[in-house]
Amino acid sequence: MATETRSSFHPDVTGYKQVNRDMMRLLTKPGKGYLALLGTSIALVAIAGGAFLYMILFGLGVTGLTNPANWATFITTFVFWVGIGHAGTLISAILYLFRAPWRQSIYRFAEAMTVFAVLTAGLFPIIHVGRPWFAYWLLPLPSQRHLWPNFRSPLIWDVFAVSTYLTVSVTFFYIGLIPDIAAARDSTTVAWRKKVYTVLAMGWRGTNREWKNWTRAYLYLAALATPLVLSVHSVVSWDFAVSIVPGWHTTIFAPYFVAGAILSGVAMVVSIMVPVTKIFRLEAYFTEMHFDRLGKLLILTSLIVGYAYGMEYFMAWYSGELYERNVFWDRLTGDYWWAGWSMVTFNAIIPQLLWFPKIRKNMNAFFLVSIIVNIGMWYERFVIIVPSLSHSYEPWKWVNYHMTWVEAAILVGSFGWFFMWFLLFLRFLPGLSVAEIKEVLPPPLRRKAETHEHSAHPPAGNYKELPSGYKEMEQR
Amino acid sequence: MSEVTKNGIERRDFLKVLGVGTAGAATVGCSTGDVERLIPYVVPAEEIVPGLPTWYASTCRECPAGCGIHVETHSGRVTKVEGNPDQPISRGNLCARGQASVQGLYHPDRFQGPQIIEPGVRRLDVSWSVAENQVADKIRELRQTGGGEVVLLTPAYTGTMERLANDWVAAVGARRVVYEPFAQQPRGLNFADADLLISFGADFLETWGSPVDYAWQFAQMRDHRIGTRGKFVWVGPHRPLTGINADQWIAPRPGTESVLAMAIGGTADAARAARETGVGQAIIEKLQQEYASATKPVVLGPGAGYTTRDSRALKSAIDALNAPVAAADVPTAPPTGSRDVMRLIEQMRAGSVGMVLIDGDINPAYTLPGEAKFAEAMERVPTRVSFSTYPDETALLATHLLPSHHFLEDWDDYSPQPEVNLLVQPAMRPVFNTKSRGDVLLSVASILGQPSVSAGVTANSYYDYLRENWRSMAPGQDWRDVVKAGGAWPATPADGVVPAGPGLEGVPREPITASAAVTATSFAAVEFEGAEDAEFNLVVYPSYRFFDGRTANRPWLLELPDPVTKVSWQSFVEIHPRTAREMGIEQGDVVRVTSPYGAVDTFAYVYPGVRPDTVAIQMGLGHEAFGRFTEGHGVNPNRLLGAQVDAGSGDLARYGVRVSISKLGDAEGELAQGLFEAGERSQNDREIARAISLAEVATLEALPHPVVPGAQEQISELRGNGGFTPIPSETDPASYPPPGTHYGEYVEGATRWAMAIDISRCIGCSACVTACYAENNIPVVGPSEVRRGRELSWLRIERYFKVGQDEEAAYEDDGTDDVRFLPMLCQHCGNAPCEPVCPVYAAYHTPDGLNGQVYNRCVGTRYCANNCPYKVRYFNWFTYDFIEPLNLQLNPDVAVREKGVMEKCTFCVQRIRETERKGQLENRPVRDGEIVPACVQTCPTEVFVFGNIADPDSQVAQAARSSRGYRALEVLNTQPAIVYLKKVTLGEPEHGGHAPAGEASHESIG
Repeated sequence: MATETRSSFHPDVTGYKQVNRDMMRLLTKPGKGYLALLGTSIALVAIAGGAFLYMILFGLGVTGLTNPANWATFITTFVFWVGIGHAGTLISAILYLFRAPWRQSIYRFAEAMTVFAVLTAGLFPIIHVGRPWFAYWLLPLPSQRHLWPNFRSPLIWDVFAVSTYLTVSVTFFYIGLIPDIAAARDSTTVAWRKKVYTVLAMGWRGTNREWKNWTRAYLYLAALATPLVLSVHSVVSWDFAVSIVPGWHTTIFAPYFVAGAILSGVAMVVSIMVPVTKIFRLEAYFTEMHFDRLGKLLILTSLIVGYAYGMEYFMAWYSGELYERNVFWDRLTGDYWWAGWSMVTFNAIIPQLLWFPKIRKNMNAFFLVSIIVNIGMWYERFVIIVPSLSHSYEPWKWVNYHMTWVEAAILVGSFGWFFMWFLLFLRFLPGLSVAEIKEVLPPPLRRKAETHEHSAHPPAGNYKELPSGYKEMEQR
Repeated sequence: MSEVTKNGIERRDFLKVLGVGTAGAATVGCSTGDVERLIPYVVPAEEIVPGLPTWYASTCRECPAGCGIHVETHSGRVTKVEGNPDQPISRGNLCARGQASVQGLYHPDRFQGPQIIEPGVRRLDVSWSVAENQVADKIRELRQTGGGEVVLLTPAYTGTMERLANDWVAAVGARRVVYEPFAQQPRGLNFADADLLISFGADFLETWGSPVDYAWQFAQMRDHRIGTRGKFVWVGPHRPLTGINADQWIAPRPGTESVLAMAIGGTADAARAARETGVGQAIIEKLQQEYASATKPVVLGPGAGYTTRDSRALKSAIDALNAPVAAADVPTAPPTGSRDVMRLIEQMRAGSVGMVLIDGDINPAYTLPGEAKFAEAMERVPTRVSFSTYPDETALLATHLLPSHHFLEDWDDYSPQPEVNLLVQPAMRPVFNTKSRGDVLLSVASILGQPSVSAGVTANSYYDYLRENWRSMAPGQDWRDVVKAGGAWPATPADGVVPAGPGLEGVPREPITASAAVTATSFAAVEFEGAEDAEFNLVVYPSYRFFDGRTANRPWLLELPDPVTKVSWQSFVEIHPRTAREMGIEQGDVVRVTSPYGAVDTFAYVYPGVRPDTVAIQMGLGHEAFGRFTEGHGVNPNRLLGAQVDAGSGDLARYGVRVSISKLGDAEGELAQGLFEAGERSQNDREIARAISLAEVATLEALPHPVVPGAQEQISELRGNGGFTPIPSETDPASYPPPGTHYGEYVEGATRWAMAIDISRCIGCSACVTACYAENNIPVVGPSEVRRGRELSWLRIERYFKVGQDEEAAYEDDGTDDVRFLPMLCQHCGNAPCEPVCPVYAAYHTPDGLNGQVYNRCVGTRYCANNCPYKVRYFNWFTYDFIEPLNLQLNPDVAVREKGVMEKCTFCVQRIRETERKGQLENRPVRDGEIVPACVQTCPTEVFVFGNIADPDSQVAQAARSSRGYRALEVLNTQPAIVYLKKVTLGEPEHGGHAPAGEASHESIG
């Protein structure tokens, strides 16, 4: 038997046809499990929508917000989702620019996750304001009162940062999708899908010129998106850092938030990829190696975040500032000690388990760690926001915050909203980046095409790796 | 084309009674039935200019003090009550109860009209003539059949009402019984220039005597002069608001107060007194000496909550202490007391009373002790008439309800002190179908064939009767002038500035000794009754907010935190920390207090300002009936009391019961309907309420240039340009917003509104808080929202027991020795953290230095509130209700906010603009002191000074230059417009008034 050439990243993928087939497999009729998941997500969205309407009707008083803790669950969740939205662009744009070939199979999911996470995050500033029906006043719309928004307010920066990020990541996502949509258009047999894909593919024919323009566009967009990865969460962090609230007013916030965002984003990628891999049997695309790389990324960001935690405490102590010291002491020993310790344990300590390759490469263990990090990262934002506000300068106004069912419903509903979009994405848009995965596969040779038609999964080891140069670089 | 409304009031009818009022102002349609329909004036009322208020002079009747008031009305509706500055008692100030009287007027649970009740069968709404005829019939019937006597139960009336009541009982053959919940206490004392003030349980800052007057005098007395200041000693088992304002607290063994009083006067041996009272001999000797060397020592007492069964010894000891210096200044009040009402209850129970008519101001079913069993006795009276306008406990026992006018709707008069005759005049048409009790008495008499109940007076109405009576009360004075002034009184020194202060020291004179008369009073410690195992003496003391309970249905007062405990909407029993620890009781635990007469379950409030062998409960709450707001809140401690009466004053002996305490349950979760104490007890080193010792402030003031205390550096910033560093701007303030600025920052040289707050004068009474509610349409949020920290009081009074970080220190025995009150309101920062973070410019800076807040522009991101270090921005979590007809009180000059909008103190910008417009019309600049925000206006101790700090000659600029001046959290460089003046303590304050070691860097930055 002739040894065949395989990609070192996807040794189980036999060739282009399999990729196309697997991509189309995702787009076929949904099963019961899928419908149940989608139904649950939509139900959660409906509950959250009901809670939101209830809140609009009666006022924000139905939440647990208090006078000192004017921000809590909603802003926590906003920052959480913005953070989630970071890994996608990191993986798709930054790793693209760095030519990291292990991104090919996961970046589509990560990018979809980004888009939907930012879509989710974008709702929260509107949900959280007292008069959501006037939220558009934050936009610089011309009005007869000649009144512009206050460009000194970090909330305005937020509006621009998040909307820019959403625009760019949607564009980037869509541009990347075009060749794959064209592939789906060509192979789908469902009439309406064909129509939709035809429109979305924008007449993609796969000519040389098209490919040339497309790769150039993709490169530029990647270059454009890269600074956004750093800027968005920096701007979000300035929502806090620009204020004078003790515990917020810190210069470390921008890098700290970005690292935290990447940590949570990568954790979310893992949290999503593990079930997707298992349910859709995509083991051939998401291999041990991918999880290994993600695990290392997680360790790195977790270490940065851990360092930031330590530095925050050091600065609080070193500054000698009474209010700062009190707030940080209070995080560990005060009424919110459980949240403070959860944050440190979940984000800085538990991810260290990933130093062990066994845990990194064990999908179940890694999944568990990623979920813990996700929870920990939600707590991190909670700890930054709530205890700082509840315990700021004025001791007369130290009042604790208690979440109510409305906020819980909207928090859970945000997950419903996110997964609703994600599940719809899985069924309606190519989840696997056919074009890019093919880049790392050996190009099909006409004479071999027939041979492998019937043996999609030959025993491992019985192949030759396509030289990528990547492993050699890594070994060095 | 007169149109008759549902309840029979003529819409366009000019208010006849007001024709003789301030200037015959007219009004329309005050009935609440159909305010929605707008009917234009056919003949416009000359006096009413839409948008401009009409003011009426009157007298506050919420307590017996008799403060003069000005009633603000807009288009015929009362919106606010303020002190009458020309009147000697109020001096233009008012307490929280007085401020809240408008909520009594518009209380939604007032009776809508007369009712006849067949108990357990039905309630009938009837017309006034039917009700009066029935009452008259019953009286006639009783007189004919001899079925028992007719009793008119009233509080201690004065003036016209006293005459009418006596005439009436004579004319209809009834008997009059007088009941005052608190025996009459001396009003009109003069101690503003005292240098030693000792109070034996007299809570003169809250309820005793004349609180508004006394609070002002107290502040004058304690105001520091060069190197000296009056000293106040509080003697009592527990420290209420008056007590924690004292410089020294002496808690003798309960019942031995008179020994201490005698010892102070030098008529009892200090060693023996120390033995009897349990007070250290050295303390007594020092006090003895202080008393002897004082220029003007004044001794007050005994207080209503501390009246034992025999307070004669104490009373005479106090009189003796006052005798040498102040006899002329201390008029002895006529005793009224509760003896007669106790006798009446006996007669009622015996069935010899056929009919009782009870004035609405007293609520005996609530205020009388549990042992008296008033309600039970009432059942034995066949006809029970109540004049109460509220559904209180007594009114619920009535068979005939004849709701009387609120005092803001009624003509009346009142003489709180000899020769001080005050007039009460209606400021608007009655809200409901109520009737003046005087008119009711007159018409009942007339039905009974006694058209002229008084010799020489033929009165068709109480107003005529009053006019007639006033011929003798204000002889020779024009009636219009009397009405405009709010009464008639002799010109007294109190009208002007009390000659106090400088000159006190260095006057050589004889040492004072109390008169020998007191030695004749044999002393016997008062016995306390109660079971052997009952280990605590019970103190039931009147409430600053609710008095005897009569104002407990006003939402503003329910929401107002108690000045000492900072608990609102709830009752509590004060327990000493050590006692609590021994019994395993924690703050907020549910405890049962059991006396021989009853038991109440309430929440424990762990408080070092009470003797370890004593527990204290505040009166006022725990109403079984009193309208929707107060029902179900708190407990009524009167139930625990016996029916004994003080042999001296005749007042109820509230102090003399022993109780036992048992713990029923643990403190519930933070959000459960348990006890909620606002704020922290300690400043946690924040130093936002600072103090300085008398000695140090004298040293500082002696220096040529005021310096920062401690740092000994010259204050440059406080002195320069009115105390603020303006943001540079080179443009003309008229071209607003100036180019290059962000929607107008403070412009140099322009007006800068600012305030100085002297926390040395602040007694924590919170009258300003209620005034702010009234002026600025602040909604009441209710207990569960208060517990979430969502109250909207733009101005709050913070009360700190301690300065340091150690919370336990506030529970030590000296925890109440240096209590600091801090009025906290928007600081109108020059460099405001709230402004740049608002994305929509709802928070912005006005050219005259205010932090503006545009409600219409606000989208509710709440970032401003997060960034406000003072936490004085308040968010509308809901659209709060102003239940009809409470909504009629709303100030039309201030917007009512809806949900989702941030709000805060505006320095009463509506008043600033109004005054500025007035100045423009008169073509002159605004005068210093002309603009008076609501808090400044009402403060009984005149803590606040408001004005333009950019003018170096203004009062506020002068006050801000004090060497006691500091700004809250000034380390943040927010440059507040509010300058606080440190509290002056006799001894060294905690931390010496400075930041603790290691944190001193704050001082130099600000």
